[in-house]
Amino acid sequence: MKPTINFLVDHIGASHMAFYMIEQAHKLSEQGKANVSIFYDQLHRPCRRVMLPTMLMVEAWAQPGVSIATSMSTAARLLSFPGPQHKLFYVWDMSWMNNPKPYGPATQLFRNPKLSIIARCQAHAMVLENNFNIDVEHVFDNFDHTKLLEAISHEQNRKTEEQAVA
Amino acid sequence: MKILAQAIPGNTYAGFSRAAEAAGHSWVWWEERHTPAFDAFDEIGPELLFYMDMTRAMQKCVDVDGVATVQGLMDDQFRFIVGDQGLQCNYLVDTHMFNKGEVHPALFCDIGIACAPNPLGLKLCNGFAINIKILYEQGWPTTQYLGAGSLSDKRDLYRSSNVVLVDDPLEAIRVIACGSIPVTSNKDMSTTLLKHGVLVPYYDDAHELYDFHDEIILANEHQGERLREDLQKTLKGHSYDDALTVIMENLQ
Repeated sequence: MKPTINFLVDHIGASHMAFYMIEQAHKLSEQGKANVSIFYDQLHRPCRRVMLPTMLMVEAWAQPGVSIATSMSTAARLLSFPGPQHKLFYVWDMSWMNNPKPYGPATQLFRNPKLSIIARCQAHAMVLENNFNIDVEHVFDNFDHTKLLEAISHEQNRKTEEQAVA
Repeated sequence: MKILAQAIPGNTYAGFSRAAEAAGHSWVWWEERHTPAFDAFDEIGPELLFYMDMTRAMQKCVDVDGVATVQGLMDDQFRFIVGDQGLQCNYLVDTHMFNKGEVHPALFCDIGIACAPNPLGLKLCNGFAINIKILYEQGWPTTQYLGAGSLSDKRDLYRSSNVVLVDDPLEAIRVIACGSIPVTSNKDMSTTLLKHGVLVPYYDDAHELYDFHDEIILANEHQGERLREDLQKTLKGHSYDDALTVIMENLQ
């Protein structure tokens, strides 16, 4: 059965992140490998033509399948959604480094055991591992759809194993 | 003993309050703008007063009731005037808050940093593949900076680091109380503490500090443990409990 993949983004307006996310989501959908939807927080004019269902973030609340947050705000909201069976956080940028900032919220988010972290590159993974003492298992750039499917499959297998042990 | 303490912004006497309660004394906070001095002294009947600024009303109450006084100069410096005797204690650590405890899984690291950006810290952050975590009010231009932590966050960092880079004498003493090893690149701070009997290793070269961490602390567990024990011994006289004991002895 095809997995359902939901991207949670701040917006799909002009940005490097939105461009590649839409491109790779199209590939997943065109190749028939997944049912893909995009959920946005703010309404912007899309940076490229979107041939996929796009909805407001509130609709993702009960959406089943695999949900992928792309920013700290969407990750924090994803954690409160009861629908998704698998919750991933594609760490596109290091937004928590903006000063001034209090210590705590970012650590709680990145160390949340319900969230699987995906880094864009090895340098980002090293920063995440150093700052939050976590293991970053998945590293790939620009939402590479083949690697994304591998990561999802890995997470699904791991959850199945954990449930079997429990 | 009944102790009355002027409630001062900044929680200056919080360390003394915990030490006094642990020693079985009765500690009462006094909000001067809500309760006049005469009412507070009549109601509580204190034997000891902790204050920052003495008003005429307070002075009158102190003189009439024969109350001993302790004046706080700063967060970690206190002058005691017991009778006609003057004493002073510097760099006091609240051992009820800063003490040995469990390593925090999110803050576990090789070198913790709790000071303003300095060349030694920046070289460590950019030149070595070691786990470094920085908690400080002032931002650092490095990826290891986690933000401004509360006192309890800093305590957790001190407990969870092998070595902590500091530039403030009070922080160095807190690090020792948490069972870790403070180091500094601030020569003045190291000298100041040495005058008070506390030795804080001084480094200005990142390679030397890295070697100290790698060869003495990590590779030789026994040596690291002995260093921690020696540092703990120098803490004597630098806790609020010790200062309170001195005050009580002088009162008697």
